[in-house]
Amino acid sequence: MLAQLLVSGIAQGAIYALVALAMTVIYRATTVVNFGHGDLLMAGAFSVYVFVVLLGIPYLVAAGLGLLLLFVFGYLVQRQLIQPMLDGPHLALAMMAIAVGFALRGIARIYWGREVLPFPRIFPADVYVLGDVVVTSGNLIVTGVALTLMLVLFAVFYLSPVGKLAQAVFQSARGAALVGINVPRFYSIAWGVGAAMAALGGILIAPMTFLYPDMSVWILIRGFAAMTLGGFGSLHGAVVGGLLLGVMELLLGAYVSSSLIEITSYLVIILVLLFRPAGLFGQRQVVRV
Amino acid sequence: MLTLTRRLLLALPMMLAAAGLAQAQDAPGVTENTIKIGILAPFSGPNASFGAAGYGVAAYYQHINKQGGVHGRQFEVILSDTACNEATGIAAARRLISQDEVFLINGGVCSGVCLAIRPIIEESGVPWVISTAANQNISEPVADNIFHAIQTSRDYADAMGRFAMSKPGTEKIGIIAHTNEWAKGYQDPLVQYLKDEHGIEQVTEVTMERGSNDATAQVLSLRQADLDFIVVILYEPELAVFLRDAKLHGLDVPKVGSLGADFSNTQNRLGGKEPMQGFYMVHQYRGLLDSPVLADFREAITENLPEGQSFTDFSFYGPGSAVAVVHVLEQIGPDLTREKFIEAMENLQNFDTGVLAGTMSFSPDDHQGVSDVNVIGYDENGELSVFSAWGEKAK
Repeated sequence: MLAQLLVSGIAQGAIYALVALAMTVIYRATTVVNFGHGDLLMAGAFSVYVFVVLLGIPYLVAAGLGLLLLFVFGYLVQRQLIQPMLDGPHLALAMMAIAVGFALRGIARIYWGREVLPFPRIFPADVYVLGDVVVTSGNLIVTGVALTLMLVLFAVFYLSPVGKLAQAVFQSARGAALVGINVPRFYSIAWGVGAAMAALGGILIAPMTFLYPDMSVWILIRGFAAMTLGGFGSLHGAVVGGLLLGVMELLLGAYVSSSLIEITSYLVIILVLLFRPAGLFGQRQVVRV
Repeated sequence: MLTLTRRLLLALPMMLAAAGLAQAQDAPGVTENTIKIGILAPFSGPNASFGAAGYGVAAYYQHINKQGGVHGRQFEVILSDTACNEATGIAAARRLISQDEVFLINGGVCSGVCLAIRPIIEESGVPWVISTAANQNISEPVADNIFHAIQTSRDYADAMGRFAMSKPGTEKIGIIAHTNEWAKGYQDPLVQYLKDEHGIEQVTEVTMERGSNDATAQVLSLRQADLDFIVVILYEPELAVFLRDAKLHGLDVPKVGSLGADFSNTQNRLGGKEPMQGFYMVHQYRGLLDSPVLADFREAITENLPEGQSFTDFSFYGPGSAVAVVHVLEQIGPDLTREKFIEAMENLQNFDTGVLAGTMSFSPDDHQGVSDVNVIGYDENGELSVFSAWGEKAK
């Protein structure tokens, strides 16, 4: 039972890691925590659903269109809604992100408020049995994508000029602008990338969780808890935090009480902020959130 | 020249008719040609799929309208959205009572919402015929104007317990349930039933919260408990997740589920009937929804659904109560008041709705009218069937 709980916990945690990773990208680039991220994930999944099921577009093309659509959406949200408020308090930015998320959810509810839809699979629903442990192809793929994304983002942020640019903007937007970096554009692109990553998460997660307008309610708090546990701004922290959270949920749920599954993420946030505010891999710094 | 007495005698029928009309017009929500009915259901939000029950009720009244209505009056139906949310539900009920001034309310889908609005409706005196929500505490203790025209959670709990225990050799029972008031409405009476009727003191209980997308921990806990039967008290999205993970991790113990999910919808979500093998669900009707015994009723509902709505199994989860309302209104006659309606409901005995399992009876001391419950699931040949006990098909 322990082995199964660990494997399933890691698989579940990979979902949280995907969410935390995308939130970390926006945070690292713009210092804003996108509290509307869960709804971007939902919007990405629904857009692919529309392309595939309603418009009959082949799955891979539809997935590409979904990523592109969400990239453009994230770019425009930053450009039109976030950018004009950048000099204001961060609380206002957080509220704007939440408002955008709720607006997306409201639109989805207009069309699919009564539906919980089976999402077409991009990968086969195979089941692998290793002794007493069962793992699905979905689990393996989501975990693999989360780890691959982490490595790619690690390379981008630490080994490429883009990473230096991000670091410069993160540390001082004004200083970066003075040396010729187009900071507003960089912010917009970062939001676009974060939104596209949300769409990718939605495409991978929806076949396992079903598709409905409120599908993001449970996922945002988990992603945020994973970020908190791993340390804000840390890419590998987001992944490790997500995986640990998934495992903790299942171990507490199976060995202590199933009632604890739901509150594990809240407990993690409280305990980490109390005893190790920087998380496992984050750096101590003052954050305006 | 007519004497004053003769004039009065000649005028008497007209005066009586006028008085009758005035009385009808005095009854809130009733005019010479219409009866205003309020329908409470979640038509938006994450549980809006249950709203099909409300549309089903509306469709039945539309069906009666096409047949000429009741005593020359057409039903004017007002849909009021609770969104399956207590605060929204309270506002929706107040609107029906004070703003729309309906004659009666026929509806109520989410038990938590119905429990929240019970005091408001009880105080208003507006008759409320509950169509779908099952928690027995909505109509218990008895309120003069509130009638449960559908089986209650206690009936379903007893039916689940009875079905599980009717399988030879069943001794160890497990329960997986949400932690909300809706689930408690099933769980508490079930535990009591198992204790009182079968002397089972120990039941393995695990919880699964709304919105959960993984049930591995719960499934493994139940598997380790080595159970003979599992009772599942979950809403549809979580039920699908639980059945998916139960199949994945080899939890092949028979299971019986409460109301709160739609059997065919759940099967659609799981992508076929294989994960549904060994899973049964309480069923408040006398037959399968697509069986000949319910064909006429199904057609009446399907043809009269509001524009843009399509038929689902949930469309059936309510109209049985509307059949009773129409029957009682016909019995009362043209002179309609709320007092007469309440009195006629309390006198309703062994009424066959043609839809629900069993018959409907009320009394001044008992406003819970229906108690018979069947169980639906696949038989050994893979045929969807209605059962009255383990291995016994309902007649």
